[in-house]
Amino acid sequence: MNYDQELVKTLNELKRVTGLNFSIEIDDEDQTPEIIRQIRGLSNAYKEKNNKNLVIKKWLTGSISEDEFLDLAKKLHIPIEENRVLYLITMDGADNSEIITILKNMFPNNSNIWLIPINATQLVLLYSFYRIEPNLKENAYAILDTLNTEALAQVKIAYSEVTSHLLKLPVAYQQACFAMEVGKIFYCNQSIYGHDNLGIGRLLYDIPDVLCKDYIKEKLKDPLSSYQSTAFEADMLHTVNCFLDNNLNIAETARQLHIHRNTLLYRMEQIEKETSLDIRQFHQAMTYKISSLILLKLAGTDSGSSRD
Amino acid sequence: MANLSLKNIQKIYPNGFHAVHDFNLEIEDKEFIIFVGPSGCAKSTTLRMIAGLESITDGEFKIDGVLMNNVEPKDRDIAMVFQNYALYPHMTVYDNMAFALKLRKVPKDEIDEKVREAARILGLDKLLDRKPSALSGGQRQRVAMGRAIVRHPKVFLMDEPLSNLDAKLRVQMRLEISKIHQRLGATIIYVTHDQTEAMTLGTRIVVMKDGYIQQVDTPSNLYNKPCNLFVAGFIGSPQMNFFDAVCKINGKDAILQIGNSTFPVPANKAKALIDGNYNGKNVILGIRPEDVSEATDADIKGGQTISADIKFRELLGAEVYLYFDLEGTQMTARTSSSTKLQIGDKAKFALDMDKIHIFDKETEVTITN
Repeated sequence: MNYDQELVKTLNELKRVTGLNFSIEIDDEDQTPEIIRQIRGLSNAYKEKNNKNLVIKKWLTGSISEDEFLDLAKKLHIPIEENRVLYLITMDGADNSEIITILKNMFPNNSNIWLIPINATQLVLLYSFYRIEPNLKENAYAILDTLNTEALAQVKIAYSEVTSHLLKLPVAYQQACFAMEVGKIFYCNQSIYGHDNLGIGRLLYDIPDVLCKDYIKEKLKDPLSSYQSTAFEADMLHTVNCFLDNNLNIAETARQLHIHRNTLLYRMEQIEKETSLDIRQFHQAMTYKISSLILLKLAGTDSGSSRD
Repeated sequence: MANLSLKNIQKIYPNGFHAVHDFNLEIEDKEFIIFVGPSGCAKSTTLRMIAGLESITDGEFKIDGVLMNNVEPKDRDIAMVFQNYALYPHMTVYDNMAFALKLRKVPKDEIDEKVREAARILGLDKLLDRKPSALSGGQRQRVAMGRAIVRHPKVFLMDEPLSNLDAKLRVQMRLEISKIHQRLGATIIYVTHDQTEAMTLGTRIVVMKDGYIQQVDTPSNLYNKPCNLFVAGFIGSPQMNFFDAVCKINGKDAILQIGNSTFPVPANKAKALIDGNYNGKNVILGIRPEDVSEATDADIKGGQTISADIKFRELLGAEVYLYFDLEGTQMTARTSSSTKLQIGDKAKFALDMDKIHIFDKETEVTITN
């Protein structure tokens, strides 16, 4: 095999990625394949070190020091001060590369966005803007609808608040991750979660599990069984939520749920039997509601990360 | 194209939100089905379950007899057009439409054939080299639809595709979509909250509220034979007039009393009231604005008129809406633009009692259809 051509090609690639000229003298031609392999390794290492996406990913995930990051950012001409918002996109059963291709084409002005794959199911889209702040939620909906229609992918999107300094990106990343976790637990019927719009989920998520369990123990008749209690099954939760939405009006709730008034009363009695909470009383209905959210939180953190 | 079958479909989220309740629907090949209802009625959630973008908690969803519950969206042979469509700004119309096929590595010749065919259907043949920035809103919308058409799917799913367009364009595009349906002969499921869009586009309409189907019927039946108070109020603009009334039955005759006014019920409708044992019970009388007219001499002689002071008047070109009170409840009459009645005038109106609708006050279900 003629290795000379291959060697020239490999050297040209090294020149392309580093901008430097190299020349090589080989004494023993048998060593050429090994030399080619080493030069390729050098090119790849250089590419990896100077890959903007990779550098930002390392900074987001805390696997690079601040000084090293700032050095690399300057070297790679990444603007330090710029308004940015971070969208965290999770995909279920979708082809990551297809999603990236679609997003790249959706935002063809490459200086505006960075697409950083975090793992096989998560992707960060870092969106830069100058004067006019975009409608973050509208952008998220445009991304969602485009990925739904073009990639036919199940997607959830969380976004951070606007950050203006490169060093604050890890904070934005944490905000988006937090919004995604809170959203998936408390607002799982939605697909878009903004860090600035997390409601009571934000408060409940940060309460340590120990305190949550103590609350359940204090408020419910049989806390041990409440995790599996029929009083907190989806139908019951829906009934109570509807009852609260209708200002504890039995007739209106029954009408809206398309059930007979007696069925509604029976459900309420079942809840009272299992929890000692008479949800016809506003305060006890609120205790039920808060307990249901805490149980949801405990179930969510059981399957994910614990915050004890 | 395709037959769709949805049986006892439920959607319950882990947080207890019960979005869709016992949804049953059979969709025939080439039907244009509309899901319509107010915000939060789960019309989009149902569409997303059909697309496979939301899981189905319970029930069976089939396309051409094949169970689809656990089939990935990309394997369902569907195409979608959503509200927040984004065209690729740097690509031509041709490339925008070809993009999804290129991603799926479809051969070039086949892509070209499909794109040109879709462009012809959509009337975009001469715009294929243009970029989105050089297109009007309606043309862009057509490109978004073209991206779905090139996939040659069994079913098209559209979620409020016109809601980002201005009123004039919406009317134009409604017509376009109707034409496209005829040309493609496709099965289309279309979600909207706009009842005009629903009435003008659909072969059948599914009216939804709070995750429940209220009525599935043709536009004409929904308008003329609403099954309950919600459907009667939701379909039709201006809305149907509603009044609380007491039903009084005397032998084979029935009258409805609204405050001090009484209205005799036609025999066919009276029978339903008698059979339902409604004597002395509260009911709701509904009448559409076009069934309330300026009283003629014959009406006045017959004595079945109501006197009222005109409170507001809206001229819409070909017709005029007159607003007045009947026993404390606002009423609307849709009359010809030739009417001389002005705000403050006293006038007599006649109700076309053959066209009234009577609803059970408690269940809100229609009694007299």
